[in-house]
Amino acid sequence: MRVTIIITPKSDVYDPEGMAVCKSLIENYNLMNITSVTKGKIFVINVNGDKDDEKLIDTLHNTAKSFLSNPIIEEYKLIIE
Amino acid sequence: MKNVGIIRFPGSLDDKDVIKAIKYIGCSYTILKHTDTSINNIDCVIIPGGFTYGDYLRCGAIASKTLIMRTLYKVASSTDIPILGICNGFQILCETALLPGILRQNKNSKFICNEQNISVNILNNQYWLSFIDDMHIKLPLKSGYGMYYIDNNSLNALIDNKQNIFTYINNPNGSLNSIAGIINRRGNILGIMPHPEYAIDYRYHCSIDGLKIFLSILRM
Repeated sequence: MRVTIIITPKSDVYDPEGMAVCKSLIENYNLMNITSVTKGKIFVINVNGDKDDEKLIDTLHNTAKSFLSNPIIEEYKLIIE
Repeated sequence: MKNVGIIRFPGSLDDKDVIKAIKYIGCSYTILKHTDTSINNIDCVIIPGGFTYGDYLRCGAIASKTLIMRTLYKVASSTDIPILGICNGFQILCETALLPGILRQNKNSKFICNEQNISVNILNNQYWLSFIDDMHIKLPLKSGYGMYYIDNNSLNALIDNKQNIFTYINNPNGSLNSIAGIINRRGNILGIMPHPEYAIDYRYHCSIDGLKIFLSILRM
Protein backbone atom coordinates (compact mmCIF):
# COMPACT_ATOMS: atom_id res chain seq x y z
CA MET A 1 0.00 0.00 0.00
CA ARG A 2 0.99 3.62 -0.44
CA VAL A 3 0.98 5.93 2.55
CA THR A 4 1.15 9.69 2.04
CA ILE A 5 2.00 11.82 5.03
CA ILE A 6 1.41 15.57 4.71
CA ILE A 7 3.09 17.84 7.26
CA THR A 8 2.06 21.49 7.56
CA PRO A 9 2.83 24.22 10.10
CA LYS A 10 0.02 24.78 12.61
CA SER A 11 -2.17 27.72 11.61
CA ASP A 12 -1.14 29.85 14.61
CA VAL A 13 2.59 29.30 14.07
CA TYR A 14 4.57 31.99 12.22
CA ASP A 15 5.85 30.56 8.92
CA PRO A 16 8.63 32.80 7.47
CA GLU A 17 9.14 30.58 4.40
CA GLY A 18 5.44 30.54 3.54
CA MET A 19 5.30 34.31 3.98
CA ALA A 20 8.32 34.85 1.71
CA VAL A 21 6.69 32.71 -1.02
CA CYS A 22 3.40 34.56 -0.50
CA LYS A 23 5.13 37.93 -0.91
CA SER A 24 6.91 36.74 -4.05
CA LEU A 25 3.67 35.45 -5.61
CA ILE A 26 1.99 38.78 -4.98
CA GLU A 27 4.93 40.92 -6.14
CA ASN A 28 6.20 38.86 -9.09
CA TYR A 29 3.04 37.19 -10.40
CA ASN A 30 0.52 39.87 -9.52
CA LEU A 31 -1.59 37.32 -7.63
CA MET A 32 -3.23 39.98 -5.50
CA ASN A 33 -6.02 37.67 -4.23
CA ILE A 34 -3.61 35.45 -2.30
CA THR A 35 -4.06 35.92 1.45
CA SER A 36 -1.55 33.37 2.77
CA VAL A 37 0.81 30.54 1.78
CA THR A 38 1.75 27.62 4.01
CA LYS A 39 4.84 25.59 3.18
CA GLY A 40 4.81 21.95 4.26
CA LYS A 41 6.31 18.58 3.38
CA ILE A 42 4.99 15.39 1.78
CA PHE A 43 6.38 11.91 2.42
CA VAL A 44 5.25 9.11 0.13
CA ILE A 45 5.97 5.75 1.75
CA ASN A 46 5.46 2.40 0.06
CA VAL A 47 4.81 -0.34 2.61
CA ASN A 48 4.28 -4.06 2.31
CA GLY A 49 1.17 -4.48 4.43
CA ASP A 50 -2.54 -4.13 4.67
CA LYS A 51 -4.53 -1.07 5.70
CA ASP A 52 -6.49 -3.27 8.12
CA ASP A 53 -3.27 -4.00 10.02
CA GLU A 54 -3.97 -1.82 13.08
CA LYS A 55 -0.49 -2.26 14.56
CA LEU A 56 1.16 -1.08 11.33
CA ILE A 57 -1.18 1.91 10.99
CA ASP A 58 -0.53 2.83 14.65
CA THR A 59 3.23 2.71 14.03
CA LEU A 60 2.85 4.94 10.97
CA HIS A 61 0.79 7.45 12.96
CA ASN A 62 3.33 7.36 15.75
CA THR A 63 6.20 7.95 13.30
CA ALA A 64 4.35 10.82 11.64
CA LYS A 65 3.61 12.40 15.00
CA SER A 66 6.93 11.96 16.78
CA PHE A 67 9.55 11.97 14.03
CA LEU A 68 8.34 13.24 10.66
CA SER A 69 6.55 16.16 12.33
CA ASN A 70 7.17 18.08 15.54
CA PRO A 71 3.84 18.50 17.37
CA ILE A 72 4.97 21.84 18.87
CA ILE A 73 4.77 23.56 15.48
CA GLU A 74 3.36 21.10 12.96
CA GLU A 75 0.35 18.92 12.27
CA TYR A 76 0.11 15.92 9.97
CA LYS A 77 -2.40 14.14 7.79
CA LEU A 78 -2.01 10.47 6.87
CA ILE A 79 -3.58 9.18 3.66
CA ILE A 80 -3.61 5.43 2.94
CA GLU A 81 -4.15 4.20 -0.62
CA MET B 1 41.35 15.59 35.26
CA LYS B 2 37.84 16.07 33.92
CA ASN B 3 37.02 14.12 30.79
CA VAL B 4 34.55 15.73 28.39
CA GLY B 5 32.49 13.65 25.95
CA ILE B 6 32.06 15.44 22.62
CA ILE B 7 29.42 13.97 20.32
CA ARG B 8 30.36 13.98 16.65
CA PHE B 9 27.61 13.31 14.09
CA PRO B 10 27.91 13.26 10.31
CA GLY B 11 27.72 17.01 9.57
CA SER B 12 29.00 18.25 12.95
CA LEU B 13 31.04 21.37 12.29
CA ASP B 14 32.15 23.15 15.45
CA ASP B 15 33.50 20.07 17.23
CA LYS B 16 37.09 21.10 16.39
CA ASP B 17 36.66 24.45 18.11
CA VAL B 18 35.01 22.81 21.12
CA ILE B 19 38.06 20.48 21.32
CA LYS B 20 40.35 23.56 21.24
CA ALA B 21 38.35 25.12 24.10
CA ILE B 22 38.49 21.90 26.13
CA LYS B 23 42.27 21.64 25.61
CA TYR B 24 42.60 25.34 26.51
CA ILE B 25 41.10 24.73 29.96
CA GLY B 26 43.29 21.66 30.46
CA CYS B 27 40.66 18.92 30.27
CA SER B 28 40.81 15.69 28.33
CA TYR B 29 38.12 14.68 25.86
CA THR B 30 36.57 11.61 24.27
CA ILE B 31 34.82 11.70 20.91
CA LEU B 32 31.45 9.94 21.06
CA LYS B 33 30.24 8.72 17.67
CA HIS B 34 26.61 8.71 16.57
CA THR B 35 26.65 4.90 16.65
CA ASP B 36 28.02 4.60 20.21
CA THR B 37 25.80 2.95 22.81
CA SER B 38 27.71 3.68 26.01
CA ILE B 39 28.85 6.80 27.85
CA ASN B 40 31.54 5.70 30.31
CA ASN B 41 34.15 7.68 32.26
CA ILE B 42 32.67 10.96 31.03
CA ASP B 43 32.18 13.91 33.40
CA CYS B 44 30.05 16.00 31.05
CA VAL B 45 28.81 15.86 27.46
CA ILE B 46 28.98 18.59 24.81
CA ILE B 47 26.99 18.49 21.56
CA PRO B 48 28.69 20.97 19.19
CA GLY B 49 27.06 22.94 16.40
CA GLY B 50 26.95 22.18 12.72
CA PHE B 51 24.48 20.87 10.17
CA THR B 52 24.01 17.28 11.28
CA TYR B 53 22.49 15.05 8.61
CA GLY B 54 22.26 18.11 6.32
CA ASP B 55 19.56 19.63 8.56
CA TYR B 56 17.16 17.32 6.67
CA LEU B 57 13.60 16.91 8.00
CA ARG B 58 14.12 19.53 10.77
CA CYS B 59 17.36 20.80 12.31
CA GLY B 60 18.55 18.11 14.73
CA ALA B 61 15.61 15.75 14.10
CA ILE B 62 17.57 12.88 12.54
CA ALA B 63 20.47 13.23 15.01
CA SER B 64 17.97 13.03 17.90
CA LYS B 65 17.01 9.47 16.92
CA THR B 66 20.57 8.11 16.76
CA LEU B 67 21.94 5.46 19.12
CA ILE B 68 24.15 7.91 21.02
CA MET B 69 21.23 10.30 21.66
CA ARG B 70 18.99 7.43 22.82
CA THR B 71 21.81 6.40 25.16
CA LEU B 72 22.30 9.98 26.38
CA TYR B 73 18.55 10.33 26.99
CA LYS B 74 18.62 7.23 29.21
CA VAL B 75 21.73 8.42 31.10
CA ALA B 76 20.22 11.91 31.57
CA SER B 77 16.97 10.39 32.88
CA SER B 78 18.75 8.58 35.70
CA THR B 79 21.71 10.88 36.51
CA ASP B 80 22.52 14.61 36.71
CA ILE B 81 25.23 14.40 34.04
CA PRO B 82 25.91 17.95 32.79
CA ILE B 83 25.10 18.36 29.08
CA LEU B 84 25.81 21.41 26.90
CA GLY B 85 24.22 21.75 23.46
CA ILE B 86 25.50 24.59 21.29
CA CYS B 87 23.54 25.83 18.24
CA ASN B 88 22.73 22.61 16.33
CA GLY B 89 23.45 20.83 19.64
CA PHE B 90 20.68 22.91 21.25
CA GLN B 91 18.35 21.95 18.38
CA ILE B 92 19.25 18.26 18.91
CA LEU B 93 18.53 18.52 22.67
CA CYS B 94 15.10 20.02 21.91
CA GLU B 95 14.29 17.33 19.33
CA THR B 96 15.40 14.65 21.83
CA ALA B 97 13.01 16.25 24.39
CA LEU B 98 15.85 16.74 26.88
CA LEU B 99 14.93 20.44 26.64
CA PRO B 100 11.48 21.90 25.88
CA GLY B 101 10.57 23.82 22.72
CA ILE B 102 12.03 23.97 19.24
CA LEU B 103 14.34 26.22 17.19
CA ARG B 104 12.72 27.54 14.02
CA GLN B 105 13.78 29.56 11.01
CA ASN B 106 14.81 33.12 11.93
CA LYS B 107 11.89 35.53 11.75
CA ASN B 108 13.47 37.61 8.97
CA SER B 109 14.52 34.41 7.08
CA LYS B 110 18.15 35.58 7.09
CA PHE B 111 21.22 33.72 8.28
CA ILE B 112 22.57 35.76 11.20
CA CYS B 113 26.32 35.90 11.82
CA ASN B 114 27.37 38.55 14.35
CA GLU B 115 28.16 39.28 17.98
CA GLN B 116 25.26 39.38 20.41
CA ASN B 117 24.94 41.07 23.77
CA ILE B 118 23.26 38.59 26.06
CA SER B 119 21.62 39.04 29.41
CA VAL B 120 22.27 36.34 32.05
CA ASN B 121 19.02 35.91 33.96
CA ILE B 122 20.05 33.26 36.47
CA LEU B 123 23.51 33.45 38.01
CA ASN B 124 23.32 30.60 40.49
CA ASN B 125 23.48 27.68 38.06
CA GLN B 126 26.03 25.38 39.67
CA TYR B 127 26.72 23.35 36.54
CA TRP B 128 27.41 25.75 33.70
CA LEU B 129 27.60 29.24 35.18
CA SER B 130 29.95 28.81 38.13
CA PHE B 131 32.51 31.14 36.49
CA ILE B 132 30.04 33.70 35.11
CA ASP B 133 30.01 36.74 37.40
CA ASP B 134 28.42 39.32 35.11
CA MET B 135 24.76 39.80 34.18
CA HIS B 136 25.83 40.69 30.63
CA ILE B 137 27.98 38.60 28.30
CA LYS B 138 28.90 38.82 24.64
CA LEU B 139 28.95 35.78 22.33
CA PRO B 140 28.89 35.30 18.54
CA LEU B 141 25.73 33.96 16.92
CA LYS B 142 25.75 32.16 13.57
CA SER B 143 22.52 30.44 12.63
CA GLY B 144 19.62 30.43 10.21
CA TYR B 145 17.30 28.42 12.45
CA GLY B 146 17.70 30.09 15.84
CA MET B 147 14.22 31.41 16.64
CA TYR B 148 13.20 29.76 19.90
CA TYR B 149 9.55 28.73 19.91
CA ILE B 150 7.29 27.01 22.42
CA ASP B 151 3.56 27.07 23.15
CA ASN B 152 2.27 29.73 25.55
CA ASN B 153 1.65 27.52 28.59
CA SER B 154 5.06 25.88 28.34
CA LEU B 155 6.70 29.31 27.90
CA ASN B 156 5.05 30.53 31.11
CA ALA B 157 6.22 27.38 32.93
CA LEU B 158 9.74 27.91 31.55
CA ILE B 159 9.85 31.45 32.93
CA ASP B 160 8.21 30.50 36.26
CA ASN B 161 10.85 27.79 36.74
CA LYS B 162 13.64 30.27 35.85
CA GLN B 163 14.82 28.15 32.92
CA ASN B 164 15.26 31.08 30.50
CA ILE B 165 18.89 31.46 31.51
CA PHE B 166 20.12 33.58 28.56
CA THR B 167 18.19 36.24 26.62
CA TYR B 168 19.30 38.50 23.76
CA ILE B 169 19.45 42.23 24.54
CA ASN B 170 18.39 43.02 20.94
CA ASN B 171 16.38 40.01 19.82
CA PRO B 172 17.96 39.26 16.39
CA ASN B 173 15.91 36.26 15.24
CA GLY B 174 12.41 36.62 16.71
CA SER B 175 12.93 34.15 19.58
CA LEU B 176 10.02 34.14 22.03
CA ASN B 177 10.89 36.31 25.03
CA SER B 178 14.26 36.90 23.31
CA ILE B 179 15.42 33.48 24.54
CA ALA B 180 19.02 32.65 23.57
CA GLY B 181 19.55 29.71 25.93
CA ILE B 182 17.60 27.55 28.36
CA ILE B 183 18.27 24.96 31.04
CA ASN B 184 16.22 21.98 32.11
CA ARG B 185 14.45 22.08 35.49
CA ARG B 186 17.35 20.43 37.32
CA GLY B 187 19.79 22.88 35.71
CA ASN B 188 22.31 20.32 34.45
CA ILE B 189 21.33 20.50 30.77
CA LEU B 190 22.05 23.78 28.96
CA GLY B 191 21.10 24.60 25.38
CA ILE B 192 22.49 27.81 23.92
CA MET B 193 22.19 29.23 20.40
CA PRO B 194 25.24 31.57 20.38
CA HIS B 195 28.69 29.96 20.37
CA PRO B 196 30.80 29.98 23.57
CA GLU B 197 33.62 28.11 21.75
CA TYR B 198 34.17 31.22 19.61
CA ALA B 199 34.59 33.48 22.66
CA ILE B 200 37.75 32.06 24.23
CA ASP B 201 40.68 34.32 23.37
CA TYR B 202 40.72 38.15 23.10
CA ARG B 203 43.25 37.96 20.27
CA TYR B 204 40.72 36.36 17.93
CA HIS B 205 37.29 36.68 19.53
CA CYS B 206 34.88 39.38 20.72
CA SER B 207 35.07 38.31 24.38
CA ILE B 208 36.23 35.54 26.70
CA ASP B 209 32.74 34.93 28.08
CA GLY B 210 32.58 31.56 26.33
CA LEU B 211 35.73 30.51 28.15
CA LYS B 212 33.95 31.19 31.45
CA ILE B 213 31.22 28.71 30.47
CA PHE B 214 33.83 26.03 29.65
CA LEU B 215 35.80 26.77 32.83
CA SER B 216 32.74 25.78 34.85
CA ILE B 217 33.56 22.18 33.84
CA LEU B 218 36.52 22.37 36.26
CA ARG B 219 34.13 23.00 39.16
CA MET B 220 31.63 20.24 38.29
